[in-house]
Formats: sequence, structure tokens, C-alpha cells
Amino acid sequence: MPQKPDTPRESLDDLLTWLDPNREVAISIYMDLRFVLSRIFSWNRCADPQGMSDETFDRVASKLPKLKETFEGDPKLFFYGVANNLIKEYRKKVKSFSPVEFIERSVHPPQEVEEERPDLREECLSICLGKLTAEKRQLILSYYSKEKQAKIVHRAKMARELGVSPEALRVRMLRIRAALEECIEHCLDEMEVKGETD
Amino acid sequence: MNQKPVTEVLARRFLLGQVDDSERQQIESLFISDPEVKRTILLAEEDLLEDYLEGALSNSDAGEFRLRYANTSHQRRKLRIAASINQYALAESLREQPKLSGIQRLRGWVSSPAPRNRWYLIPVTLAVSIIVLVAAVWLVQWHHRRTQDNLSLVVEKELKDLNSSSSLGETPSQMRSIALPPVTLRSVQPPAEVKLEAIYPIIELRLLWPQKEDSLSYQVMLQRVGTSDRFTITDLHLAKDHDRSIVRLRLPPQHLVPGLYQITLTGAATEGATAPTEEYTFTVTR
Repeated sequence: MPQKPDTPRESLDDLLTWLDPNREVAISIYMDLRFVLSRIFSWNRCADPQGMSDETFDRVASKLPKLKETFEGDPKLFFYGVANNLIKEYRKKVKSFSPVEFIERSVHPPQEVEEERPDLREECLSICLGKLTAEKRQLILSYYSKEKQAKIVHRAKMARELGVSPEALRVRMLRIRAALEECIEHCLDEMEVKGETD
Repeated sequence: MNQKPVTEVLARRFLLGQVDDSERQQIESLFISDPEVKRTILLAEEDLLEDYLEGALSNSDAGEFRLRYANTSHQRRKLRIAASINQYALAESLREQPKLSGIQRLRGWVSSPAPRNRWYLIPVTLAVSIIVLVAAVWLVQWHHRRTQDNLSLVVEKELKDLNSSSSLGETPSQMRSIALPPVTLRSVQPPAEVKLEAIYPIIELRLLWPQKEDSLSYQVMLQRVGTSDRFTITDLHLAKDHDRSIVRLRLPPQHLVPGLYQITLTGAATEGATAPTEEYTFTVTR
């Protein structure tokens, strides 16, 4: 499990126990929270969603001794409350910057990602498609093989052939696609590191 | 408090920032705590992404989408990855279709009842193989051209959207503005430098228009020097910046690559007169 370097181990353990007494369940909730918080910060146009998710965990961890005694309800909603406060603080900070020639700078500049070469992207796509099972590969390539009106008809046909509802097929494709995109991102990161060390 | 059910329509509005702050908070807290709502929003987001990549969003929705999903270099990389997957799947289906039907036809023909003596099958098979090979090469080249054309269309559409009157009427919070004098006024100075920085999802060039005559509308031709990529943006208008006349041109940084760019700005010609024209250059760096 990824662990934030500046979160003390004991705090993280306490946090996990607060999320759920069962460690495996707690880890799963923790991972999901990291994902949803990052999405929420991203939707609110925060410049560094990952960093702000870390900040949310830090703030909750610092309040944990009191929370354990007083908070009742779904701990996720407490995380959201903290995240929402951070969003408000972020907006306030962005607004307080003086515009220079209509420019507003981000409060937390994000880590830069160099634009990858298209051939590297294609290579990673090929590698990651190769890592999928044949069934998943065929499914995802077929699912995205049509555009506009044709795709609606095609996807309905796919769902019928698979014996699932169109909604279930969409959810399945969403998962495969998310895994594929994550694999390509890791692959590109590795290629970049490799390129730097060569 | 009465809670509205989070439908895909509402989720889409939320994702494009078209809900008020209390609705936003309500949807976000459900996103974090209700798996059903989470699923609805992620599916709506997937649809939105596909619509954006297909160029099916309205100008204003595409603008909102870019502000939320092409704001950082990391997000832009995610978008490029998403586009690659869709393009790859489309290309695969184009490659598969003719190949399969050809093989199926050939298989059917070979297995059909016919005279025993099929000596002529050898040259015919050879000829068919050559035709298939030539067709495959042609298809690959055609697909490559099509991909390039599609990309050009996407860029052209983005430029059009960014420079529509409604988009220019809004001032995004994170936009870099650069004043660009025409080449004739700048004389021997080097071209202006446009540095690509992840924090600016939009770059606005303020093209100074030194001519006294105003035109009803202006057209920009943008070209990267040394390439054949040219983009034309029409129906631009003069604006006032202090006491200077300018034409504003907004560019999506994700489509700019380091190098020298040239802009030709042309005013609509009045009857019998030559169209007034100015040239500008700028260098894109990282």
C-alpha cells in the first residue's frame, strides 16, 4: 500500500483502524478515499489534487484522538468536510493573488509532466493492451471501435451478445479502461526514467 | 434538506461546473459516500470525455471541459492517453473489417463444390496475396493520413471554439496573455517567446493591429514554420487594449510544440481594395 512519506506510521495505523477495524477493509476504504478526494480536488480545478488529498489525510490524522471520542457517522463524510474546507481555502488564496496582465498563478504549482513522444505513447498502449487478457482486450477494442450514432447501436448489440445490460457493460468497460490508462501512465513514467538514465 | 437524485444529466452538469455551490457540495458528499452516485458520476464523466474527443460538445461545454480536464500537464497527458485508446480501437476496426470479409469470401469460394483440377488456384492465390498486401499497405497509409486529418480537425475545432465571440467574452482565471507586435514594427528584434507552462490551459496572443483602416472581420492563418500544418481561424474582430487596436487569438497550449510559428492576420477587404495584412512570429519553448 502506498504510504505518504511524511505521515507517521502510527497515525496511519490509527487512521486505518478508525476507518474500519478490519485492516483489509480499512486499506480498501483508504485507497478509495485517496481516489475520490483526488477527483473532487481535480473537479474544483485545484492545481495539485494529489497534494491536497495528502493534506486532507494529514489534517484528519491530526484530529484523530478527539474524533475517535466525539465523531459519529460515516468517517468518509468527515474527510469530505475537511476537503471542502481546503477547496474554499484554495479558492480564497487564488482570488487573493494580484492579477498581472490578466494572469492568475496557481497556489500550489503541480509537478510538471513532460509531453511524451507519440511513438512512446503508442508503444506503451501496445504493451498494456498485451497485458490484458485476450477477452478484455477484444472487449475494449470492440467497445471503442465506433463513433457517434454507430457506437450506440454497436454497444447495445455487444451487451445483447454478452447477455448483460448496457449499464453493466459500461461499468465493465470503465474498469478495464481505467486499468489500461493507469498501466500506460506507469509505462510512460518508466520510459521517462529509463530515458533519463540512458 | 431535499436532495435531488443524482442522474447522469445532473452529474454531467456538475462535471462541467454548471451547478451552484450547495449542489456541488451535496453531489460531492454523495460521490464520497454513496457507491451508486459514484458510479453514475464516473459513467457520466466517461461519456463526457468521449463526447469531447469526438468533438460533440458545444463550444461553451468544450471550454468548461478543458478548464477542468486539461488544466495541468498531468491531466493533458491523461487526455492524450484516452484519445490514443479510442484512435487505436477505431483504427483496429478499420483494419479488421476488409481483412475478415476478404478471407471469409476466399474461404467460401475454395470450399465450394468445383472441379477437382484446381491447378489455376496457385497463380490466383498469388495474385490475391499480392492484392491483399497492396491493399494492406494502402490501408495503413490511408489510416495514417486519416489519423492526421482527424487530429487537424480536432485542433481546428478547438481553435474555432476558443476564438468564438462567446469564448472571447469570458476571461478564464488561468490564462497567459502575450502582446505580439507585427514583424514590420518589431524590425530586428527576435520573435516573442511563448513558454509552455502547465498552469496555463489557454494562451492568448494579443496581435497589435497598427493599420488605421479597420475591417469588419479578420482571419488568422497559423503555421508552424517548416511544416505543412496550417490552421485558419475566421471571424475575429478588433478590440481595444488601452489605446491600441488588437485582435485576440487564443491558443490551446497542448497542441503547440517547440519551434517557430508564423501568423498571417488579414482583414476583410473592402470592395476594390487589397486586403490589409500583417505578419507575426513567435517561438514556442518549454
